[in-house]
Amino acid sequence: MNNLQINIVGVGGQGTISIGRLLLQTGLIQEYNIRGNETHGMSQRGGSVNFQVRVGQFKGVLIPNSGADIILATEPMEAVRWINSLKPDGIVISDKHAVIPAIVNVTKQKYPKLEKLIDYVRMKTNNIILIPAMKIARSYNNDKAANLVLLGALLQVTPLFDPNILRSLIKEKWPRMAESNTICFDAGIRYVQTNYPDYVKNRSKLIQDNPV
Amino acid sequence: MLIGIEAQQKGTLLLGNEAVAQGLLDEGATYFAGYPGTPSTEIIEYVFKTNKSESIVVHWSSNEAVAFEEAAAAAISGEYAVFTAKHVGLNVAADPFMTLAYMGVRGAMVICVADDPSMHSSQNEQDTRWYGRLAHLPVLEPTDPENAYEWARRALQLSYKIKLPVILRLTTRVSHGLSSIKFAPPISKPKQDYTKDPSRFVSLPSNARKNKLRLNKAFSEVEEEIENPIYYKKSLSTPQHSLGIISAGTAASYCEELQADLPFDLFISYVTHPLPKNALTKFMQQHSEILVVEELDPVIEGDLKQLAYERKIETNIVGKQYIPLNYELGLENIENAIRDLLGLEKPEVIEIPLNNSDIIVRPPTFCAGCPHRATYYDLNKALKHQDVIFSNDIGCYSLGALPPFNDADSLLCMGASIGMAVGYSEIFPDKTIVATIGDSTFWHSGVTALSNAIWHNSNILVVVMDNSTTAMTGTQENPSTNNTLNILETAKGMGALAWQVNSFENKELVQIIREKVKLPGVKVLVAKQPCVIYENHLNKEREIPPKGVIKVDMDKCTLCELCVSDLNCSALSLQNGEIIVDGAQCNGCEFCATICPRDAFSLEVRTNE
Ligand code: SF4
Ligand code: SF4
Repeated sequence: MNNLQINIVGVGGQGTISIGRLLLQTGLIQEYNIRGNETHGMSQRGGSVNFQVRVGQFKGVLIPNSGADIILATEPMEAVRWINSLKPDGIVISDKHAVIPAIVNVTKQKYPKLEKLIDYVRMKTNNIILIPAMKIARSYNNDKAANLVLLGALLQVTPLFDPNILRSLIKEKWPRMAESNTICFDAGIRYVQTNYPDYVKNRSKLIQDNPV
Repeated sequence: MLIGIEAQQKGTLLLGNEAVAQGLLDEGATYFAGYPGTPSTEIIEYVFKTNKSESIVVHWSSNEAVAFEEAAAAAISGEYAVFTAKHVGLNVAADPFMTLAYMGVRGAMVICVADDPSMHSSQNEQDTRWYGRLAHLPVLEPTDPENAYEWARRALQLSYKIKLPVILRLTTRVSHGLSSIKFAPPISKPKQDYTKDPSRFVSLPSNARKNKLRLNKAFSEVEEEIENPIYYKKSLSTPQHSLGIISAGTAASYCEELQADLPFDLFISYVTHPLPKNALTKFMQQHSEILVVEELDPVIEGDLKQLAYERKIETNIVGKQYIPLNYELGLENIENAIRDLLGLEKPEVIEIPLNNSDIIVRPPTFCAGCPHRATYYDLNKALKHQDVIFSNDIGCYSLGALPPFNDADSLLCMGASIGMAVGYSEIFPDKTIVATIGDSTFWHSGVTALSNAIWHNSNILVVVMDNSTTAMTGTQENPSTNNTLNILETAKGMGALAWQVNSFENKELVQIIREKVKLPGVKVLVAKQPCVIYENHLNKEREIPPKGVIKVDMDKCTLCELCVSDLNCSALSLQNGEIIVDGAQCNGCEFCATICPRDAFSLEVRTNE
């Protein structure tokens, strides 16, 4: 048995809970020992949210500081906000698409440039995978599936989760959007295969480095 | 709001709260009553969604006190009753709670209370374990979502056995943690006939005095019962370590994990009131150093120090000296405490400093199209030149306290907006006093406060933002849902001046506020419009298509910024001199169009989806 800790972060309403639950469900079907934790209540209203996935011999539901192998971010500033949850040299997978907090229209703060955000991430790791997930989802006229593009991308970085199980769970969960959603999921897989082939080659290594 | 997707092989994926509900159902629970509150809500929601049995009663009640009373009636009638609330909800139910302990139950009753250490969604982080001590009732605590199922069942069993209500104390990470849950075969509760017993259940002083002795006796039975090793878990190494850790709740799950790397023995108690004194005495005698790892207050620590003193146990007990007193615990701060205590080196952690001006805080905001946002916008426009004290309350509309609205001088607890407004009106007769409250909170405790305000003829304006649902906790039903009860008529019937306006009718709302705010006495303005999340959900069920998305005509727009700054709808932003609409967020409420002085907005009906 191997272990893996993923911190899925984003903005309330972006579907972080959905993809976290899909991963846990997949893990469960594959008979892994799973733990998860989700955000409810106040911050779900457009605030900063996270969903923690722990696969392996864990008891607690929370990932410790500097404990996550992967941060999967549906929004780039959120990847930075949670960067201290990542292991040194862990992997950050993030959508490039910024969700600008409405509050900046009042406070007149500037949302930082993507390069600036990446500089922060680099203080912890050089393993950064940027995905134009929202753009890809939009190209299929399915904005809401940006999270599934990222989920597909994640699966190219870790071999732990079976993509076929995920595909069937996605179809089951959103029967009306089954086709378009799986297309987005597959597009995420393809994007990493094309643009970050080294991670795909090395993906079993991430697990071998983490024996329980 | 997904629940238990069935798994083929290895249990079912459930939230801790859902596991609790399933456990209670499987143990034969027959009556559920509660009031929604994060992190407790999903217990009753799960029963609503999964229960098909006609013989099980499930209620969201008007507030926690009445929910408790419903469950109490069931429990003394021989039913297996369940009450659910968040930690502060038990404060509301504290009155019936304290005396039911004296009476005890004939069936069984589990009081499920979910604490919120770190206050993720709460106004304080009070520690419910004190309530067990206050009422002389047992407190059971699962350590993670996985064993929440088992402990829910055991709580009902224990209650039935000792005839006392039992507190099942949960915390955010148990309630909202997810794990694979394995079910055990269900059973039905034993049948009981109702017989009258007023000498026990009518709490006149003469009966209460007898009941107090009954409670003492039942409690000493609990003390014996919980020495049974099913109520705790010991893991000792051979030879034993000098450090023994005693822990409970979520903190214990982290200790279990840390045992792989650090030298200590562990005692987990699943009952935190009373403690298994004999078993703990033995464990303490076996270790020269005892560290108590518990979240929030030093409740167990105090009890253990007393026990060690009484029984002359020679060990050194430490707790909050090493373990943080405030906020929830995590693996890292427990690990650090243990390393400190043992004089071991701590792992080096590089903390990347994040600059606030780059990594902008992302506070929660009203959903795009939320009627509350419109109401606060109107309030601020109408009362711009007045000296106002805003008395706010608990619900989604609490967000009116944040910029750009800043409409809160105080926010104390459920229903306090109106109660405090009366106080403000006496102290500041020259200021305009405005209470803002939602429908669920109005029925919860606002209505009693309103009777007080009308009785004292206070000069206040009460704005009830009636969106027909308990929105903050995920749209549960309340007396206003489906117009079952009517706030406007209630306020009028009680003797207040009262009006009702559609929340999106900007001109009308502003005009009423301006005209009426200075009238003497209590004025009630009901701003009515369904919560957009709730409405979207209903529309989906009824297959009504979404309204559409707003479009901006930048030729008409003069960049006055009313819509982005003053209204601050989260679907709108100003980017490179243009108003941008986020189509994924906009709910087509058209309020921005209503307030735009240039008529630059128009609704585009959605075609895809
Ligand atoms: S959930 Fe409903 S009431 Fe709450 S912020 Fe969203 S729209 Fe408003
Ligand atoms: S119509 Fe305007 S105010 Fe309403 S949700 Fe859309 S952008 Fe926001």
